[in-house]
This record gives sequence, C-alpha cells and structure tokens, in this order.
Amino acid sequence: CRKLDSINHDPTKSTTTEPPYLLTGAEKSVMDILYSTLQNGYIGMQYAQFWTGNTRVADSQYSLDENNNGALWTTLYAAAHNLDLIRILNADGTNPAAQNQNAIAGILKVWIMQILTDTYVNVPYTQALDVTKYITPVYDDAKTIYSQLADTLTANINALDASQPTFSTADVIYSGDVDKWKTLGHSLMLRLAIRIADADNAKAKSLIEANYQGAMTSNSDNAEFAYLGADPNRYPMDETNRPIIDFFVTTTLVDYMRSVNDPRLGIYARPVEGLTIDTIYGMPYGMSTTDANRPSTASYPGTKIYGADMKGILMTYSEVAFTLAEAAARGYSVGSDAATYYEAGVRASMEYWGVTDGVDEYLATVPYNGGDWKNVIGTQKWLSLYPQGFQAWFERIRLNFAKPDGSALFIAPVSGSLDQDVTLVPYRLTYPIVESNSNSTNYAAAGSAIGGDNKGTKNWWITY
Amino acid sequence: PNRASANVNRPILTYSAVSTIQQQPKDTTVKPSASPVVITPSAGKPATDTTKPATATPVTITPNNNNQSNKADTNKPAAAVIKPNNTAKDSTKTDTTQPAAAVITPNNKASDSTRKDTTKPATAASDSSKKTSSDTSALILPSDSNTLKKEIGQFTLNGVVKQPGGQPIPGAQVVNLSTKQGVAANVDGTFSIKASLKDTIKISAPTFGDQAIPLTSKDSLPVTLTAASTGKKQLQEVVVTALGIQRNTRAVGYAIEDVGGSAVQEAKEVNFVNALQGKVPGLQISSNTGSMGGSNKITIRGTKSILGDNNAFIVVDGTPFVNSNSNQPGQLNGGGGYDYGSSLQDINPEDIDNISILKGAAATALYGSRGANGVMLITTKKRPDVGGGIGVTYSLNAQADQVSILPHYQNQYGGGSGGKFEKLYYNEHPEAFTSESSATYDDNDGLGRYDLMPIYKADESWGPKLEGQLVRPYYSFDKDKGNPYFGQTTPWVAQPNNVKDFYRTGYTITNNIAMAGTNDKGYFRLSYGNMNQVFVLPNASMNRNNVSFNGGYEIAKGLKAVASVNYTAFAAKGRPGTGFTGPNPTLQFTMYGQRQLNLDMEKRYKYEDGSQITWNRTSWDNPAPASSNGPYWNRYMDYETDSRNRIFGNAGLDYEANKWLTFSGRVFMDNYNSLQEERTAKDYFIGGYIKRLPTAREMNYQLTANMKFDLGKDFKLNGLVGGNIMHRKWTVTGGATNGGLILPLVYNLNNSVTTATPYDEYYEKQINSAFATASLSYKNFLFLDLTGRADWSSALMSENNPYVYPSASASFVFSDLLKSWKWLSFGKLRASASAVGSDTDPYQIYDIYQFVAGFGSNPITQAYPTKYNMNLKPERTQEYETGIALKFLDERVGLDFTYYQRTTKDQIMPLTVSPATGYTTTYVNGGSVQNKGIEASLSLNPIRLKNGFRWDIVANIARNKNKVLNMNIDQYGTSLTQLTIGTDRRTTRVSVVGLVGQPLGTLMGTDYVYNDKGERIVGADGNYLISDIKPIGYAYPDYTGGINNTFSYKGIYLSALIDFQHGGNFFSYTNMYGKISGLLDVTADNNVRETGIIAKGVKEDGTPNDVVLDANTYFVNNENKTLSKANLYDASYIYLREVKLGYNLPEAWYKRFHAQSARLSLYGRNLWLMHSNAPNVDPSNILNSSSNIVGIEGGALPSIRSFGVNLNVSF
Repeated sequence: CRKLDSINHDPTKSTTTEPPYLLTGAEKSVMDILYSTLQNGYIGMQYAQFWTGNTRVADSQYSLDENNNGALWTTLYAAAHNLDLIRILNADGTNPAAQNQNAIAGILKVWIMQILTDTYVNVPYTQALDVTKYITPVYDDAKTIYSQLADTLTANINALDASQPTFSTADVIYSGDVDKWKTLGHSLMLRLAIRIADADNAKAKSLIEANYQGAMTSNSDNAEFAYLGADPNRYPMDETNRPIIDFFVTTTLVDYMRSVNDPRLGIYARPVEGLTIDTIYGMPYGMSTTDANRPSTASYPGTKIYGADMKGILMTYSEVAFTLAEAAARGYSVGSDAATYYEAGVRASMEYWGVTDGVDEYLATVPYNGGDWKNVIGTQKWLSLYPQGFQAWFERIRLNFAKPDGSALFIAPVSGSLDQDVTLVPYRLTYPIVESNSNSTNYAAAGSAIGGDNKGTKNWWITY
Repeated sequence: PNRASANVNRPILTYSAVSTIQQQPKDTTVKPSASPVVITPSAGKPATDTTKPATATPVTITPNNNNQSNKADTNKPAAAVIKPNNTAKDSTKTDTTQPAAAVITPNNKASDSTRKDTTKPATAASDSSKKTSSDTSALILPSDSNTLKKEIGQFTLNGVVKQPGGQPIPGAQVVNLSTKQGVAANVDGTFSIKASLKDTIKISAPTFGDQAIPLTSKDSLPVTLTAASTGKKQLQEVVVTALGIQRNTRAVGYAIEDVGGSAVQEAKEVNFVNALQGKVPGLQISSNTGSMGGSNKITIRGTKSILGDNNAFIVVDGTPFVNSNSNQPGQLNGGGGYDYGSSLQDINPEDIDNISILKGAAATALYGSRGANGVMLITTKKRPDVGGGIGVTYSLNAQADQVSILPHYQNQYGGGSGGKFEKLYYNEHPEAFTSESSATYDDNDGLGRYDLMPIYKADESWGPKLEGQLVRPYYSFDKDKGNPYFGQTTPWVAQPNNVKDFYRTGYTITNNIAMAGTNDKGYFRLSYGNMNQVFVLPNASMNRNNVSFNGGYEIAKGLKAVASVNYTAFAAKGRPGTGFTGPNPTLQFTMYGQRQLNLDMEKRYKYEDGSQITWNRTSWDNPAPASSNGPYWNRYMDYETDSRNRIFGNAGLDYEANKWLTFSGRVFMDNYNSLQEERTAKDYFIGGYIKRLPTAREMNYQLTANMKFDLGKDFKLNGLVGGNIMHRKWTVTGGATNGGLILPLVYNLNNSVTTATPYDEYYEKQINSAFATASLSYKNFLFLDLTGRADWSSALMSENNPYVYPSASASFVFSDLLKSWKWLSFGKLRASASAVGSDTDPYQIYDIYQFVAGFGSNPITQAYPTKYNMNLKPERTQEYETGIALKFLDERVGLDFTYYQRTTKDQIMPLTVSPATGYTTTYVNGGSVQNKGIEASLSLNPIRLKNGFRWDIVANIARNKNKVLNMNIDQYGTSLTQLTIGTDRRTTRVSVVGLVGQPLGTLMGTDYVYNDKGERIVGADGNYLISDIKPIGYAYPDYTGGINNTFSYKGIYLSALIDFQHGGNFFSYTNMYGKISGLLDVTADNNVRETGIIAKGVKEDGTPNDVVLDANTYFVNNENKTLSKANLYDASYIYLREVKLGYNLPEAWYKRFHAQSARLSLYGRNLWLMHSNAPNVDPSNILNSSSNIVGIEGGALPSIRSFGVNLNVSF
C-alpha cells in the first residue's frame, strides 16, 4: 500500500524540462498569434488600414472582438513566462550554454514586452510573471517600461558571447547564432528608440547612435520564423487548406500603390475573383455590408501573403533602414544620410518580395524629400511593413503621416466607427476583460493612469 | 364470491385465515408467509383483557418477522415488504446492502420488547402518555377512555391493501383512527383490525397516497392505494439515510426527501434524474431535453463552491457512482463541442426502488467530503413486485418525442446582405447557363441577359424581400458534377417550416423484464432492460442495455452474503453539437443562415463524387462552403458516436456476532470504459477525427460494526463505527488528427496528414476514512444523533490531513406530548449543526510542464497554464439547519418546513488570475460563500370520498439566498472584489462571477447608459451609449418549486405536475445572433426593414432620440455583442412538466395471460411552457454542462415534448 503522498504525483507529467523545448514553444506561440487571422487579420492589418472586413466589418469599424484581444495578451505573457523559465532552469549552473540561452531568451522577451506596451500602454511588468508573489500584478508606467526594456536589451546584447555554447535548431529564428542575435538586439533597440523619438528625443538619439552600427545591414540579417508548411506548424495565414475570405485589401492600399505604380501591388493583393479582366480592386475601409455603395466584391490579399512559404517576420532589414533614415532626418548621427537609408529601405523591401524590375523607376516616382521626410518615410515604411500588421499600425499612429503630396492617406471607417472613443483609428487596445475580472484594482488604476481605458487614449510616445 | 385460495392476490382474504393468525401470532406454521403483523393486546390477548389493561396497553405494530423465534420466516415477509417499514432489524437480515440499518432505528428492539409486551402489557404502560401518532413503524398507541368505549361493540374488520395493479402492498399500515390501534398488512396485503361502525380506518404505505375510510358496514374492506404520483412520501415513513441506514423519519434531525421508484418509471426519461424535476423541494434538476441525453445539473440547496463541483453525490446501493462530466472545456460556455452528458443515464430506471435525497451537511456528514453537495441515495429493487415465490414483471414503455419550442423566425426576407441580389450575365459567363434564353432577365441596357443570384456566401438573412422573383438557387451550378438542376431557377419565396420540418418525430421504446424470488434462505432479482431511442434529429439515436442482479443468501446462522451486479452497455450516435459551432443545428437555423432555403433541396447534400452541396457556397463558380456546411451534411457526414460499458455493484458479508453486535464488510466497485469519436468529413474542408477513451474505476472497501444497547426502558443507544478506503483511477486516452485526413471517410488516427496528437491523461486518488455515529433515543420521541468522520486524502499534502467532520442532530416529536390536541396528528421539530471539509482533485500540488506538438524535430514543452499549490488545505463548511414537520386535520394537511444556513470558506479554487502572471489559473484557498434558504412542502387532501375518489395536492417550494461573504486569499494576503466563474465564449463580455456582497452567479456585462430619469441614452449616431462592464443580472433563480395534483378513483388516477422557477437571468446567443443575422421575427416585423428603427431612448440633451437606423444597422449595432444587456432575459418560467393517467387493466384481461396484475399509464412530459418572459428560448432548457457556468445560453437546442404509454404486467 503506497503512501498517500506518493499517489498525488502524476506519473505521466513532468515537473521539469529543458530550455530548448521552452524556446521553440515561445518563439512559435508568439509568431502564431502575431500572424493569426484573428489578431493580425482583424486587428493589426485593419488598424494599419491594409485590409478591411469582407462579410464581417464590425472589426474594421473598431468593434473589438474581445476573444482576439484576450488571446493576444494571454499568449504574449505566457511566452514571456516560458522565456523566464529558461533562466530559472539555467540557474542551477549545470548548463554550459546558459549565458547565451538566457540572453537570447532575454532579447525575445524585450521584443514581446514592447509589443505589449505599444498595444496597451501601461502593462504589468515588474510584478508580472511572478505568480508565487503576485496574483494581481500592478501595471507599470509605459515610459518606465521602455527605459527598463532598453537597459535589459543592452545587458542581454552584452551578455551574448560567441565563444560559448548556445541553442541549436531549437532556435527556429537563428539556430542559436550568437552574432545574429546581437545584430537583432541592436536592431530591436532601433525600433524601441525611434518609437520614442517624439516623446524623448535625447534618449532616442543616444540609443540609436549607440546601436546603429551593430544593427542589420541586409536582408540576410532578417529575423524570421520559418514555418514548416504542415500542420500544426503551418504559417497561420496559409490558406492551402481553406481559403481565407475574411479580408479584402483596402482602397487605401490599392489606390495609393497604383498611383505610384508600386511593383509590389500584385504581391500584396490578387485580382478580384470572377472578373473577366484581372484587376485588383480595393474595398473602401470600414464599409459595411449594408452600405448602398459597397462594391459586391474586391481583392483578397495576394496569394504569397497567404502562401505556405510565408514566414513569421520578427524584423527585417528594411525596417532598420527606414528607422535610420528617419534618425538621420531627425539629425541623429547614423553614418549616412536619410536619402541613402531611405533608398536602401525601399530596395530591401523590393528584394524581400523578389521584385527586381522597375525598382529604379519606382524610386524615381517616390523620391526621398527631406522637407517632407515624415510623409515620405512614413508611407514607404508602412508599405514595407506589410503584412506586419501590428508594427505597421504602431508606425501609422506614431508618425501620423500622409501621402508624400500631403494629402490624407488614411480614412475613417466609411460606415463609421462603432467605438465611441475612436473616429479615425484606435491608438491602443483596451485591456482584456480578464484583467478587469481578475486584477480589477490594478486594472482600474492603470485605466485612470493612462487617461482612460479606451481605444482613444494615446500612448506616451504619441505627441500630436 | 371470493374463492379464497393459495392465491394471495385475491382481493379479500377469508376471515378465518386472518383470525387464526391474529390469535396465534407465533404460530407461523399455519401460514408462514402471512405471519402476523400485529401483536396487539386486544388481538394477542383474550377478550378478557379489553376491560382492563387495554387502558394502558400500547399497541405496537411491528413487522411480522419481528419474532425472533421465527428465524425461518425472516426472509419471506420481509421480502415482500418492499418499503423499509419493517423494522431496521429485519432489513439487516434481509437487505444486507444496508448493513447499518439495524442499528439506528429506534424501534429496532421492538422485536424483543413486543413479545414481552404481548404478555406483559404493563411494561409498556409508561408509553401511554404518548399521543397517537401516524408514525406507524414505531406506533405505540395509547389506550384511553375513548378506546375503552370504542372497544365495546367492536368487530374484527378484515381487508386487503392493494396497488392499483392489484398487487398487494405488504406492510401497509392500517390504523383505526378512532381507537388509535394499528396493524401492518401481511405479505399478501391482508390485514385485520378491531373496529366499530363509524370508525375511520386509515391506510398508508410508502410511495402511496394515504386513504382514510369511514366504516359503514362490517364487510371486508378492499383498499386500493394509488401511488403518490410525485413519489413524495409521507412523513411517517422510514427513510434511507447516509450509508444506507434506514431510519424512521421521526428520529431524523434533518431534512430528508424520499422518492419512490414509480416517480421515474412511469413517465420515463432516459436519464431518470430528469424525471425528478419539480418533485423534491430544494432539489434543482437542470437539463436540456434537446440535447439527447446531455448534461444535467443536480444541485441541492444552491451552489456552495465558487469554482468547484456543486453536483450532488450519487450512491447506488452503497456504491459511489462516478458521475463526472467528460465534456470539453469550451463546451461549457457557449463554445463548440458535444454534450456527452451525465453517465447517470447508465442506471436503469426500472431497477430503482427508492431515492433518498440527503440535503444538509448533517445528513451527509458520514460521506465526508464527497457528500458536501448533498447526496442522492438510490436503492435498487431486490425482491419480486408481487408476493410469493418467483415473480416476473414485464414492462413496456413507448414514447414519441417532438420538438415543441422553436424560435420565431421571420419569413419576409431571404438570405444575403444589403437587400441585394447579384447578377450573373450570360455574356460574361455563358458556361453558367444552359442557353442564353435560359437567362431570366434582360434590362435592355446592352449588357445582355442575366440571372439573379442570392449572395450565397452571406450566412445571414438581410437579403431581398421574398416576392417570388426567379433566382438561381445555390444548387443550380456545378455543371461539371453532372448536376441535374444545372441552370434552373426557382422563385424567391418563404419557407416558413424549413426549420420545423428538419426535426422529425423521435421514438423511445423501453422493454424491461425482471424475475425475482425469495425463500427462507435468500432472495434474488434479475432484470434486463433495453432502451432504444430514435432522436428528433436526423441520424441521431441512442440505445442502452441493462442487466442487473441482486441477491442475498444466508450461508450459516447469522452470516449472510449479498451481491449486486449491474452491467450497462450504452451507445449514442449523432448527438447535436452545442454552442456556437457548426455541429449545433441551431447555428445555421437561428444564429446564422438564410431563411428561404428549401429543406427538400437541402436533403440533397452531396454530389455523386462525394463533394458537398451547401447553401453557403463561396460563389456561383466555387461550391466550397464559405463557412457553413448544409444541415444534412452536418448530420450525416460530420457526426459523433459514443459508447460506454459499465459494471457497478457490490458484494459483501454480514455477520451477526451476538444480539447487539453486527459486522458488515463490503466491496463496492464502479468501473466503466467509454469511447467518444468525433468526425469531420474531408471534402472542401480538411476533415478530422477525434477519439477519446475515458475510463474510470473506483473501488471502495468498507467495514462497519453496528451496535445497539438498551439503557433502561426509556433510553436506547445505537452505534456504528467503520472505516472505508476509496481508491479511484481514471484516464483519458485517444488523440486528434492534425492537418486533416489523408483519405476521406476513414476515421482512424493514423489517417492523419501529420502525426495525430495523442491524448494521455491519468488521475489517481485515494481517501482513507474512519467514521462513527451514535444515536440516542428517549421514549421514542426525543432523539439525538452524533456523527464523526475523518478523511485522509491523497490530494492534499500529508500535513493537511486528516480533516474531520462532526455533526449533531436532534429530533423532538412534540405531538407525543400534546395528545389532547386532537387536530394535530403529528408534529416534529428538528435541528442540526455540522461542519464538513472538502478536499480536491488530484495533482493540484506540484507544477508541471505540458507537451505541445513538436516543431519538426524540435520538441516543445510549455509551463502548464495552471499554477498548482503545495499549501492547499481542505475547504470548510458549517451548516445549521432547523425544521418542523406537521400533520393535522386528520392528515388532510401536511407541512414540512426547513431553514438552513450554510457557510463554506477556504474554498479550494482554480482562481482565474491575470495572464500577466504567466498563468491563467492558480489554485488557492479562499473566499467564503453563504447559502441561506428555506424549503417547504405542503400536502393537501381537499377531497376524499367514500367511493374512493380523492384529490391530493403536493406542493413544494425552495428559496436559496446566496451571498459571497468575502474573497480573501490569505496566502497572498489579498482580498479580491470579484471572482470570475466563466465568461461567454463569443462576446466575452458576459461573465458569471462571484462578487463580494452579492450572490454567486452574478452576471456581468455591458449595459445601456441611463440618464437620471432612467432613460436610455442614445448617441448622436442613433446608437445606444454602452456602459462599462458591470453587474446586469443574476443567474440563479429566487425560488423554485412544483405543484402536483392527483385525482384517483379506484384503479384510475390522473396527475399533473407543474414546476416553476422565479427569477434568474440568462444571456441569450439565440436572440443575439438571431437578431444580428436577420433571422428572427423582430428583424422584419412592423415593417422595420422598410421604415427603419429608432432606438428607444433619449439623446444626451434629454430629447427623444429621432435618428432612424435601417433595421440591419440597428440590430447589428444595438442588440449585438457589445451591448450585453440587450440580450439578457428573465429566466422565470411555469411549466406543465408531467401529466400521467394510470389505469389498472381489468382482471379479465390480464388473467388471460396468467398475469397477476397489469397496469397501463399514459403520460406526457415537458408538455407546455405556460409562462415565460424570454422570447425564442425555453428558459428551463438552456443547460449544456454540469459546471458552475450558468446563465449563458450558448445556442439552445429546441425543447422536446414527449408522449408515452407505459404497460406493466406482473406474473
């Protein structure tokens, strides 16, 4: 007869694991959510005004599907938690790869936390992921989080040591390549810094100037998560098994790209089905099915965008180039001038999509213009971020750019916003309902600290 | 006219037989099987006694086998006494599955004392102060001057007590209300009693309604008792209490309800529990008739545990019955999946003899933590239904089921969006037409001829008005598939019955045959039952086979062996899916869909090549479903099957060591293996297959010692000590395909595009227990019970073991002291206090990592999202209960009232925490919940006529007030203000929560914004302003109850049960999606689609809103997912739940088959939703899980009304 205590150990479950198994899971779960039709398709890509709803338009009118919102929050924190556990497992001192593994996990966590604070403003950070102490973690001020993220990122970049063992293939992004991780670390610092350029110019300047030399220099540095093309490891928006008919590309995207003869248009969108002449048509953003003027159909996103070989993009070189272009335009010292980086950014994006013809002509159509750098860089960076919905949305609301000619690029939802606090575009997502239910006191405090838990509240780095 | 013979079922027994027996009570050789029940001074003593000692002579009715010298007899009479109103002593001998029975019953010494009494009446004289009571099994009737007078001119009245079917009712209690003398009927139902003309004779028996008959002649008296059709028994009877201990109700210091098997046998439900709805005060049975054997929720006295299981513990003949719900988590809150329901339906209703409901903590303390939510004790039949030798009973039940409540649909507009058709031009797509001339229209605009096309891909009905326009239906394309309908058009017309006609008439046929017998050494009963159901949904069916055996045998003097084995084979096919998912048939009828679809055409759901034809095709040239399969594809191609094989039962020995000490040993087992398979066809969709094999085995090993002592003549003490080891192991194995099926129509986990994900779950748990109980009685009117139990649970760390459960209860039959109050027949006060503890499920102590499907060659593990806790301690409940039972006015009125207060603290909760902790759930101890409530039942007998006609009313009502006292989590030094129990799956705005200071089950959601006058504020855009999330309702009702009226006359009775619920709210997906999708009548009534809708309310400046919104915009914006209150409804209802008409077939008819009785009943169940405040949904029919997530209607299945006929023949 066994002792009662021994019966309570589940013989079929493990109470410990190995860091590589946690890393793969964390990378995949974040990519899965960032490129899911539900989060990227119904939130990121729509708030960036790349796409609009087909039969379900309420999301385009900013009626947020709370399931998608809650899943985003929960998944990002869970991934960060699993990354923290890598450090905890490595704390026993027996793993020779511990230093690099911890640093890589740390860099990934910064990436995740920045997405969280950019999406929601104040979020739990210092008391987060410490359940034995805090079941109701307080929300930290977003600006403070940014400062801590920058410090953490620096520390992790410095901790990377190419002479020591690291992850192998469990790191789907770089296979544990320490130098690549260093490069990504510096590049993420540029993303972090440029986002606060309006709100904290000095800090942005110093961070960018300190990190730009270590950042990506070509598409071969890109940080991407290569899916396997088979379930359950398929790119989330791979429509091989089932056509994704949820979204049309917007007139905002199509009409602008056509007006500048953008060679990427045929990649970003596909011709309307059933039309005799293959033509790409956008759907006016946020036009409901009941609108009398609504076209009966429009173009779906391009087949490559929904293709089996699409990768989950963490960051690409074109973003670095556009960031440095902006830094240069702002007068930071980043080695080259804005026009050079701008052109590099456009070319990197074209290269990324395999466009070789017409790039020079295109650059001639959308030349760099220092007097209008915000609109010029903003528009091209926005186009280059397709289909990174969340990053494109953040850049849209940060730079608040228009077309290079100064005319408005974005429109309010044609059939109106269904959110009482938003007319043009949400500046953030509201906190998930699970927070108001399970962390109500801190949730309420956070809401008042940021000026109201609604989608109209601007993040601290938005200054207009 | 009555040819008395060996046939004991003759209606009237010969005088001589009875008188012989009466005068020779010990002479069992004369007619052993009819040995005397009555040992009264008047009968047992010569007539000389009547002048003198009778004044002080108590009359004790004891069962006929009390006579200790008559060992050989013990089995026979007891065998016939189906109800335990023979003393507990007898049931120990004969009904060994209830080992403790002998010990506690106050009059279990009666067998000895009675004998003394018969010869020494004076010894019982001290009892003469007692008032007569109807508590017959302990009847000690006083003699007084009235009696004296009455005895002059007495004669011996003979009679027989029968059931409506003609079967005798052995042990029926017969009391002469005038003399206060009583006897119990013999095994063949016969009795004789002293009586005078104008006396009133009252006859009662468990599960039957009482009858009081004024005597008008000395003729023998045939009495037919009709079943108290609610099954609600009367106060004076013996009830089965914890551990199967049989007790007289007068000795029980807490509320207990007893229901006879007939309550679940005549008007059958496949799951017998559902037939108890409305019949027991404080027992709330929630179910869902449309779910084909789906979940039911059995709660007693409200919900106590915030997040834990609140369902009653089920015990069958002492065997704990595993009743865990195997539904998938998403299925609980409006997500998809199948409701596999409760495995209680494995129990054959025909085998049930009696159901006891133990409600309070004092009643259940002997069960330890498992009894914390109340206990339902089921006793199975063990003996023949008719007396003597081997008896065979056959019953046939046939039932028809029909969908009774469907939403109200609109029939003015068809499918589509924006009220538009699309145009398909011949010039652009000649391949879509048989010829140019076949195109219907030409606008003469140079574009040529065209056909109108509905927007197939739109799964909503905001399309064009149904005006007979010729359109191309979805099935008029696919020329390459040899479609005979290619190119055809059809008029755009309403199909008002297309949903109704989808549901067919269902049938349920149940056959049962039972054979039973007794002799002086033992008894047995063997039963076989077969249930076949063809459900109202196409391709849905269910069947069950039950075999059960009960037996007992006296191996040696004082040593008895008993065994009970039940085998069930259950299988179901095509259960409806639930929630907001495709397999739920209401999804495309009520929540999304197109109204104009022709059901006959939909029956053609696939082409010869096997590919699907769905109304929801992507476009005219793409037959792939945009999102929805057609309804028949769902039924025939995407379906589940499940089955379960189960063995449960017990075996053991009873040994009577000496007169005061008995030992019992038992092994109880419940073991089942299930198989659940869910199929999705590979076609345009990738297909899939899920297979789960849940198994469970629970063993209990129990040893008890029963003791009884006489402490002088006034005091009696019974005691029981025992121990139990519970060991339970359960697993779920199986898997799910990944990436779809390789080959279509093959459902095997190896037919998975990428390797199937396995399921492999294992649980094991053990609880060691010791328990003891002591019962002290004083003069059979004052009783005190003490119980204690200690549990050592493997689910808690050893330092938190053991935890103990003390309880004390007292009962005071005050009517015994108030004999001068003639109007009061019986009165009892009771009170109890108890403290119980509760452990938790296994494996909630140590944190674990879970395996996730690997990424190529890289394995993945993740921290399990639930944080476990080394510090869990048992949760604690304290309960106080008091009650009164009264019967007065010649028992025309009976009243039973209970008040209880229960506080549960330190609850073990899987607390939903901020995901920023890295976890979604953390186990903690915390919170405190109080339940206060009343339970009342009232029985009335307004009419009882000499000719046997009577009208009985039994009503019950229960009110439970629940309050969350605090949400303190001591371990974290924190106090929460609310705790979320569950959130609806689709809008995620509506949550069931515990809010401190409010009832558990508070519904949170968004509301309208109101001005000071309480008017709804509408924004400038004509849409309502929406509040933050706040309390908008309560999920649980204020009170529930039932009223049963029974009319009986001779062999016929008619009864009608109405049950009701007042208060409570629910959030309705049916209404929300039905409005958003333009399917429900309100989206088209009153010309709203033509004239638009103005949201009722005022602008922010206080002037009435005048912004006209088109109907689609109005419903999508204002009755939608963001405004929860718009779809929150009152859950009150009044339901005509059950009507039964019973008829005893004439003897001439059944004699031809050599039967001894035959009975026919007609019944209807779930007949009429008489009152409801909620549109489109039956508020009593929204449940789809047994969890605490209530008040969220996630796409209710239609309610089902049943009509049936039940035939019962005994040979």
